[in-house]
Amino acid sequence: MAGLDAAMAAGAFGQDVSVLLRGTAVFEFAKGQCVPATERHVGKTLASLPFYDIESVYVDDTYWSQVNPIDDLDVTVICPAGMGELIAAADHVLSF
Amino acid sequence: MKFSLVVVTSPEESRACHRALRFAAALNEAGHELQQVFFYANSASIGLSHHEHTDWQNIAQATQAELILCSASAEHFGLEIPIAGFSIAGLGAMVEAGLSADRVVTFG
Repeated sequence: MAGLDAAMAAGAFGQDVSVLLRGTAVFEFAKGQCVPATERHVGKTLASLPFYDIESVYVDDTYWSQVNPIDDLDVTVICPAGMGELIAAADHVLSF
Repeated sequence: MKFSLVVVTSPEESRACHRALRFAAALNEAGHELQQVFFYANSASIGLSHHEHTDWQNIAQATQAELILCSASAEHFGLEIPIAGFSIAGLGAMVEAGLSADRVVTFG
């Protein structure tokens, strides 16, 4: 969630932000995630990223086939080579 | 080259904070400019009194870098008044530093 907050702050400052979920982080997009009332729902926060002008959300293909994703999800599935290209094209990369 | 650092984990969770300190010292020795160290998420607990701050304060003095504790994280840890050499600010400060830095390096 800390990473998403940083992404939303950068988006609010007019920066061109892409979000990449790697490894098991892609399961945040799975349907039926149970989140304690005291915590924020990562999947719903991810779905709100367009409100912060973040339109580019990428997911690692390693575990994606095992995810039953939430409806109306607009993400791009990329392979490790694609991730390398995405990271190489960025001015700055923050990892969380 | 201008650098900005982001530390994410607390000293109790990992060695990331220590590595960031060593990296900051190495940057200074190599003649690079360190603009800001942003202590984000759990790393903001570095501002609690039981932690050792002298090394960071020395780095800030030597480099003129800002040491910033994330405001939301500081609130979470009950930090209202920052310790000497540190300040409290929001994520916008981190983004602004990133805009003017050549490199942003995350430790966490």
